[in-house]
Amino acid sequence: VERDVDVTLIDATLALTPQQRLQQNDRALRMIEELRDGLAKSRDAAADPGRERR
Amino acid sequence: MGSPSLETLLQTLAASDVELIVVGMLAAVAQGAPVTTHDLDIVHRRTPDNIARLLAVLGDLDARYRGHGEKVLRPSAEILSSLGHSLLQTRLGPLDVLGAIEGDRDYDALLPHTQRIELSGHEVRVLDLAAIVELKRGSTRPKDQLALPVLEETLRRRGTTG
Repeated sequence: VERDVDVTLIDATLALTPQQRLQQNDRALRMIEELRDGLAKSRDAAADPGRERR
Repeated sequence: MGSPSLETLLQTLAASDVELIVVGMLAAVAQGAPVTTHDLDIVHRRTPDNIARLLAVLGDLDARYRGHGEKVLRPSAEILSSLGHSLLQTRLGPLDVLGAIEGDRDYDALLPHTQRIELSGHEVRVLDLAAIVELKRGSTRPKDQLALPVLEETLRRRGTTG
């Protein structure tokens, strides 16, 4: 099965040093964590609409 | 507890003089694969001196086994001397300490298939991308199958760009 792979992203990552690539991984993890937190807060607010006002 | 950072976790291990090989997806990240991973997997050399150094740094990192709730279980020299897997949580993020990986490949078996990378003045060995691709090809886990095309293309492009 052929899958599309973004080679521009690969080339951009290859241009970094190993340390910069690890830093990029950490940044991505932080972003994922922030998105998870945001989604959890949205779910809480949807489940209990009055909570923000109390 | 500080913010998790696999870069800092690996730097800490690299600075500790523990003989280890980074395996798994963080090794692929370090070699240019545009993937994201949430943990660090290492295979350590299972000699008494090296295990003592590893235990010391794991203590500094407040390493404990994951999945035991409030109960704190620490790794021991006996466990780290085996081929088994210790799935730990540290103050800098998840760390899997592996005596060996698929096919009972331990530190000595993997050593010829490694590259050195530098992190803030310290060298650390990582399993080379060709070996990682071979491992992932043999894996049936969906997340490995999803990552495989990216890893294979990264390996190809590393070959063409030097």
